[in-house]
Amino acid sequence: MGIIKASKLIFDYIRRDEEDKIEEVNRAIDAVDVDIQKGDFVAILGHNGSGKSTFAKHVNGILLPTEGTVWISDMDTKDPSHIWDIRKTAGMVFQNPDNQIIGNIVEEDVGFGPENMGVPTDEIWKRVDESLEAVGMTAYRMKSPNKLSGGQKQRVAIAGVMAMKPQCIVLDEPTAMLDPNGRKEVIRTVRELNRKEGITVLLITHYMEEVVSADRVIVMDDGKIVMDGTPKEIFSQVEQLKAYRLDVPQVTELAYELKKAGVKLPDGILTREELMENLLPLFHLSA
Amino acid sequence: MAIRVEHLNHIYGQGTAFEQYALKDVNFTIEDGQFVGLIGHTGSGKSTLIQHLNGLLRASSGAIYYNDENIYSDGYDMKALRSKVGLVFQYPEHQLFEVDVFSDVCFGPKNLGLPKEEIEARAKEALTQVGLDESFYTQSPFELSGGQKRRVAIAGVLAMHPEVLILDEPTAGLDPKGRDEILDEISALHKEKHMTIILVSHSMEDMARYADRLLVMNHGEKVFDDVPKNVFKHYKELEKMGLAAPQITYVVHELREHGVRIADDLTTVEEARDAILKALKRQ
Repeated sequence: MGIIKASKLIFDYIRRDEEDKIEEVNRAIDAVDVDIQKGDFVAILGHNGSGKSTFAKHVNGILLPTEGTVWISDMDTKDPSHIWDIRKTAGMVFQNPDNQIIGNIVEEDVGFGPENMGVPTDEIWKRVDESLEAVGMTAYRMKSPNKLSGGQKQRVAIAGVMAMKPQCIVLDEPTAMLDPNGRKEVIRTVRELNRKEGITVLLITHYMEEVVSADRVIVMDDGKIVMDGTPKEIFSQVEQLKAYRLDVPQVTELAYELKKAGVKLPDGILTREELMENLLPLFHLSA
Repeated sequence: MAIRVEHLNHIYGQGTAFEQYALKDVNFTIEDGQFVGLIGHTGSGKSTLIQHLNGLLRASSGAIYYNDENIYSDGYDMKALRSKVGLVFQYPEHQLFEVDVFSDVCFGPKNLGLPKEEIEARAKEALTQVGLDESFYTQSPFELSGGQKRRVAIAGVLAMHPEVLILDEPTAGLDPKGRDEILDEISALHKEKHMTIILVSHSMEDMARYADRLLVMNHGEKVFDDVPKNVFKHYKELEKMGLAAPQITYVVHELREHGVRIADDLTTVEEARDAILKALKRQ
């Protein structure tokens, strides 16, 4: 069993009127089964309202299943005695960096989590050092967070989660409010944490370029998992992705269009290098 | 001609040790009915620039002419300018505040002192333009999705009947569906109502698709001003400014470097597909 496992997970948002009578039931997650292995980099795609953020909030027990079960490292999220261990296991990073930073200076913000967990002072400093190093923000440790760029703030937020030594990080559209440079910084940081520290990453995003290097891509629509595979497998299905109103990287779309017009290219081309490797020989040129 | 900017400078902390140019000798003219894209890395001065265009910020020196009238001349009616040049800020949904969608859109025209029938007619028209039907009118703006909220906010500006619409990253944080809907509506306002559009965006793919003209800002200066195709030819310089060209531009240039005969100004998937197919046929 993987680090994150859900079985027949259902979640309903229930709206009640003033007399507590049910006014509306909205099924956000509809019988989802998923098993995510330790150390994997998994991306979840889907348009707004597809259920991906609702799923993310189940991973550290912010939301509890209406039906079905979620286990984090074999702990059932519905068991109240496990909730703190679950939150230590799975850390979350949200969309808006300004809503997640509370410290007056960067190092204080990063130390906030472990301090609340009752970690001894020496150990807190050690973790602050390591976490800032891991996200490449050591040079900014004495700076005020409000002087940082969006991408830097988001890296501080990630360091804050890292300092709690989670085994898994869930990032809910961490780059949606950033400019292209900020987006690159954050994604590079997340990838390194996955590769170097072996942290399991669950990345929720709209940006296809960010999922190209994931181990596994899950597409959600209408509360269900509708596609699940390697980036190559997912991106070879251009028409289907478009039907789910998702973007396809321009390079992938170009390769797909050329193939449709009869050019001999393999399925699921994701990067410019791959396209060149396959396209240049057709011109009798080598890459 | 709608907007003419001449030698515009905006200096923060002038005369102090912290003196910094936010805008430096910026010049351009935007004709009626153009769709202009404005790009630049964070801190390049693009947001500062657009806030000058409707008089929210005042330049340190230089002039701005709206329909040939200097907006800095004595007695110029700034209030009228602000309803002619509508500005949609980043995350405009943070500015929604009324109890329902319809009242929120009515707020602007109400402040213009228009009669009730006119206010309501404008609100209905504006909401139709952003694709929100009557079922939304009585809903609380806070219970809508991100994309819907943003459309309500845009409708609030449209109800002022602006001649120029400036949008600061109107699709930031939206999903691809919400983004396409908003951009298609903006494009319709441009094509059908001949509204002048100034769009600030980080997405070069969107710029290649929608804009007639692209202004590039860097360190407070205008560095490029041309049709998007020509601007993207400078992809190496754009990268140095922390920007990039659409992915297709890179593909096309790499093919050219390897000796494939293909035009250097292709920016969309369709253009590149057709050109590559043609080049393959020539083999």
